[in-house]
Amino acid sequence: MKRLVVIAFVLLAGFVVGASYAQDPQPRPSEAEVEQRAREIGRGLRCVMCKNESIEESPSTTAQDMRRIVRQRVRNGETDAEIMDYMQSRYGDFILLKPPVQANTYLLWGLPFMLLILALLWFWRAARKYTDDRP
Amino acid sequence: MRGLIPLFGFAALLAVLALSILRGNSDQLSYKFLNEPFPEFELTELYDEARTIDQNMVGGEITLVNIFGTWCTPCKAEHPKLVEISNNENLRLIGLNWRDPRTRAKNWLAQLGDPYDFVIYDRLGELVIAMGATGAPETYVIDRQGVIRYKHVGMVTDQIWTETLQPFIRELEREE
Repeated sequence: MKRLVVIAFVLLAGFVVGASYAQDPQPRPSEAEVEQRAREIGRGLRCVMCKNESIEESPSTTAQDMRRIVRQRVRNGETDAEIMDYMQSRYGDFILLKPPVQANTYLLWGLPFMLLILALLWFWRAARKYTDDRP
Repeated sequence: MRGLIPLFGFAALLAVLALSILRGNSDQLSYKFLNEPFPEFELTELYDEARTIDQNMVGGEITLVNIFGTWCTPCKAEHPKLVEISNNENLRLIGLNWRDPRTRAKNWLAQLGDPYDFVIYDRLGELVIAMGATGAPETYVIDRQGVIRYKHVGMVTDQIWTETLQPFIRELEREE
């Protein structure tokens, strides 16, 4: 009976250990992977001190700390979107070098297309006038 | 006259963009935590490594939170003003020491005077980034509920204190 209990206990322990390994969906990323992903994320985040540089390019102290935090979060298994969301929750849309398409950026995103359409209309009218005026 | 239409259009576009840029540059308008509770954190005190400090210790009374570092020249320049405020006002001042070795920060405060009720030690900028700060020095006014009510970027000068921060704090005192 005692042997049976011991065997059952060993089997159960093995099952628990196996299950805990099975629940770990991703192995920890290597430092090279962390670095590569962190650089990609960092290139999309604006340095809040230098405005026109990403945190990967900026030498400022704030950018250095942001780079460290991005790397730490990559190591902790967060997705790119989760890390971007975290930074956005701290600094707002300003931190994103590529502004999202939303109500307050419609003009920003739409203006080049509007200008292109206006230029094409102008060109079409000028071309028509030119052909109509030809003898 | 018709030939001037594109010029007017261009001028209107420039005006819209200039206005957006001027509005967007305001620290108050763009600050994410304005009128929001102080962000969650857990760090240690500068002088007492065993003492943990969190966001609950920031509220309770009207408070100034000042980000500083010994490496930051404007922080040194504004420091006498903070010491003066601490001596003359019944106001809690919390320091947030950023990117310093403990000993250096402690020596700096021993040399220049310590205006703070306590100092949060943020060696790696965890809280600085969590609260959406852009650099040092920065000073935040926190109300009794622990809500960030004002953010000042740069030095606290005589003028900033008498014309902006002090009136704002007086207003908060009347409000609460």
